[in-house]
Amino acid sequence: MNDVKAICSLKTGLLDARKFRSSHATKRISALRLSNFQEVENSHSAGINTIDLDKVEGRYLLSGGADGSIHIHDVFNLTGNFQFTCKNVGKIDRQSNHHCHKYSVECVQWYPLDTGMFLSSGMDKNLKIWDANAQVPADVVLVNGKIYHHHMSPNATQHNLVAVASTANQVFLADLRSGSTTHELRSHSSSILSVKWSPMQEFQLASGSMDNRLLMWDVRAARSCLFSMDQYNGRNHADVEKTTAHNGNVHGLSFTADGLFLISVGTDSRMRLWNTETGRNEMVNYGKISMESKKGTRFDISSDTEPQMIFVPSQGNILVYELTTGVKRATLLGHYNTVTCCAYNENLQTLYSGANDRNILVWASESSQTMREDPINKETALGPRSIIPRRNLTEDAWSSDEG
Amino acid sequence: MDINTIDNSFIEKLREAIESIIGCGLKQADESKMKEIKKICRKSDIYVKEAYKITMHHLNQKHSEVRLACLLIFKELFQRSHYFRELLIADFQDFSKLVLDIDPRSTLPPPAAASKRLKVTAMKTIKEWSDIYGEAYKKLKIGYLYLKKSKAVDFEDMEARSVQEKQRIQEKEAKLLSIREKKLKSLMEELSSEETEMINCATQVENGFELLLPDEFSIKEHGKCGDPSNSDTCDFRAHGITNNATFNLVIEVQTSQTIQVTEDNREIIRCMQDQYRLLTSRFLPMVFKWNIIATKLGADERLQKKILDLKLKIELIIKKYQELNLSSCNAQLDSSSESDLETVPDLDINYENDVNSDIIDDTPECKQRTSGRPARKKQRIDDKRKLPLDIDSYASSQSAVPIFLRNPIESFWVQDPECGQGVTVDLLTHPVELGESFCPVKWSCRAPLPSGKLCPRSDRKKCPLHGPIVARNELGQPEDLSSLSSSIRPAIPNWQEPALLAEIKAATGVDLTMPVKGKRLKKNPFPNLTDIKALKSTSRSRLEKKIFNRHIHILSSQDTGSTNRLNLGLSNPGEELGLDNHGLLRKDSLTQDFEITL
Repeated sequence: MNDVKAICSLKTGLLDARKFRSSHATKRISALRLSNFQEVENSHSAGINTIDLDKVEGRYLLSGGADGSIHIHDVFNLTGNFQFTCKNVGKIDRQSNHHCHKYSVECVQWYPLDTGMFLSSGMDKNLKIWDANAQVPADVVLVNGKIYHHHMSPNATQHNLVAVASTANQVFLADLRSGSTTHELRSHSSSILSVKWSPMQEFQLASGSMDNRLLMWDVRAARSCLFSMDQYNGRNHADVEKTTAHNGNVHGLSFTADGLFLISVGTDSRMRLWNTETGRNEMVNYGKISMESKKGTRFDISSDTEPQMIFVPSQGNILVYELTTGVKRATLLGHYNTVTCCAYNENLQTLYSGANDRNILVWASESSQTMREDPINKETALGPRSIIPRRNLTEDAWSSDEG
Repeated sequence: MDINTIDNSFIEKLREAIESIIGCGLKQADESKMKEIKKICRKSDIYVKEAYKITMHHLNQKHSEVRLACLLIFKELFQRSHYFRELLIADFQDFSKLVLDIDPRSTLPPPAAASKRLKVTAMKTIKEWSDIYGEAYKKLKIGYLYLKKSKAVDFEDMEARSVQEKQRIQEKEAKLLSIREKKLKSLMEELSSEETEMINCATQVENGFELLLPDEFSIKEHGKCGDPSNSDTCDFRAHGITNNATFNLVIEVQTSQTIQVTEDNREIIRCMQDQYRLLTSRFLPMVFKWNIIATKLGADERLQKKILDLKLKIELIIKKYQELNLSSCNAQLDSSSESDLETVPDLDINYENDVNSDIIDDTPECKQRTSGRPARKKQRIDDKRKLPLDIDSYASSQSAVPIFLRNPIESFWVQDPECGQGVTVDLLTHPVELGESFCPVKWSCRAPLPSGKLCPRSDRKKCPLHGPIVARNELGQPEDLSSLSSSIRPAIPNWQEPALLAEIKAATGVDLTMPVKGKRLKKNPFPNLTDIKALKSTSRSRLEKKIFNRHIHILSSQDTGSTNRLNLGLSNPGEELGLDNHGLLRKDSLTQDFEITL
């Protein structure tokens, strides 16, 4: 009834379209569970390190595995059935493509404006720029050090820089136009595990490292960082150089869609929310989030919901937190090994997650009604042999002689 | 049923029922207990959760029989309760690690038979669950596929061999193969190094034969010449012997040839004897060993043939040698001229005989003199009274001993050849009065033995095995039970009063009850289960524990233990014999010093 009312008020102009959308998205997100109908074709033969969904349509899911392979899945369901398997539409592995990465792929990213190109990087120190259709690399940038993460600015108009986090203690900026590294940002004293461009300020960059520091950069002034995030907000430390963001490696970073906040996770099992303007710790307590990964952990934020939700992998599960309050909303169970990455699809309000058990799982809100709905060709399924009606599998089945 | 009300008695019942099922071990679980669990679980999901928790707790035990029992409970409840399914599927990874052999770091616990059964049952069950409930519970389906693909659990293979197990078998085979190859290689090496020497040795002996019997061939020729068949037809009649006449001619055929030892062939024979010794003592066993090893390892034919050839050759030579009876030939020259060492009559023999007759009581005279063991014992005790001289004790017992030290007439020491012997004997030994005479023990312990007999030990007061000697009936039971038990039972200290202990326990939660001696500290909750500890405690493991545990404190404790024993050994005979303690005290202090220096 509420939905109908909302639609009516939307039509009469009483309800803001954006609000309608976000309220529905929130509702769907709250009912997120392991999808019974959708699944992703199992094509990986090793643990999955990274996944990325294209920003243009939200249709193609890019995933990189620990054996150096990269797979592309089409997540659109155009069959008209509930039951749907996302087909593998592109495969770059050792058997089929000699351009593939030699060692584990640590990061993949679609070009933000087009699905004709994507970037991948890994332990073989190569940043490869792929032509997605031909599945050959257009260019390869060799970086000094194993690459843990790279990021390309989603909204940059004045530059084409890719930030690369590597074991060499600098952030490298690779220029796509020249095909080489143009900048080095030096301040970290250990390997860098994560870099992210701000979605609002195109020259602003955040980097998290093994030296427990989280630095904010303006790449126009590469001489030194803007500021270092301090988990104690300057109360305990007089020395700015010694400020730390975590009591462990900072191995995951993400900006909120509006670019006002930055979220970081560390090996100290903490997640922190930072103000990107001031660099202050917002002191939101998300509780303990145990993470085994020594390499990066890729988490995602739903920007279209109210409140915004964070999806954080924690060992075999994915935890759903409210961004501003730190309240844990759900625990998504389904994977059988450490979950390494997840990607949120804003168009469908679904979540994709990859883990070391080689599975990519789809999480969607499917109400129990739709779940119990039988397929359309019910008559054929119930042949003469199935006289006994199929019992509902999710109900209790205590036999009558007990109790 | 109201969900919010939890009845603890039900949970307790649940726990009891589950533990009783687990306690059955491999035997068929009691149906009524299972029914009781289901009955309670049906009331509310709270009890389902409790049942899940309890069973999961037991599933973590390192005992395959327990795990199997838990799995069977899981199976029952999984069919029934939706909530239970959700709980189990949420923990499905841990569950599968505990029941399937998928984690190489933690394999399934012993006993082996139960762990195999557990694995097979678990595989069947998981497959069944996934077939039936896979549609409704996505994670279960994913888990099934995960086990199948990533963990390579072969659900069709009812042998239930895991990848790790297969790998282990492969590794073992590879190891055996490498060992075999190593052995073969060493065999080849040995063969190649020893072969030439062996052949040399064989050739030497063969050449020796040729030299000793150079006319072997000619003898045969000669024999051929004198073949009786030639003369047979013509000569008989010429000698006046008719054909009808029968006569017997006995010809002695000497089967074993003997060689006369002469100056010329002495060296050859000696050399051959040496080589023969070498052949029989060294090369023949070696070849036998090679042969066994080669057949065991399945060496290639060429090698085996080579070894066999060698073996035959050596055996042939040995046979020939024995036929010639060469070993009986004395190739040595006369020992008087040749040997540097003169044979000296063994002086020690006489001495040894003396000593033996002194020591061994079982010589005929002894038996005659002292018939039976008690008599011998008496003899021994009498001997003991003549203790070695100890100056301190000697001084104390001086009054009893006549003074021989000084000649009363002469004021200087005189070695009297007649009484000298007596003096030295008395200086070395001196009589000690014990105050009582030896009487043999007239009773035996007579405690019942496991064999059904009674203990035959005859001790005076206390049997080292069965405690103090008490009067016993013909079955070996002590006649006075009360006195025995009262003497054995230790006094209970004041603070061990049950009331006080109960109070302490109520107040602090600490149970201070002393464990009763001889009783197990903790009663085994599941007596029907196979005792894994007992399985593990093999003689090998116990020895390993002792050998490889080189803690200093154990060593030191052993040291003090041995010194204690030393102390006892030194002090006890003195006390028994009623000696004055002066000398012994000194010895005690000595041993104490010894202890300190240790």
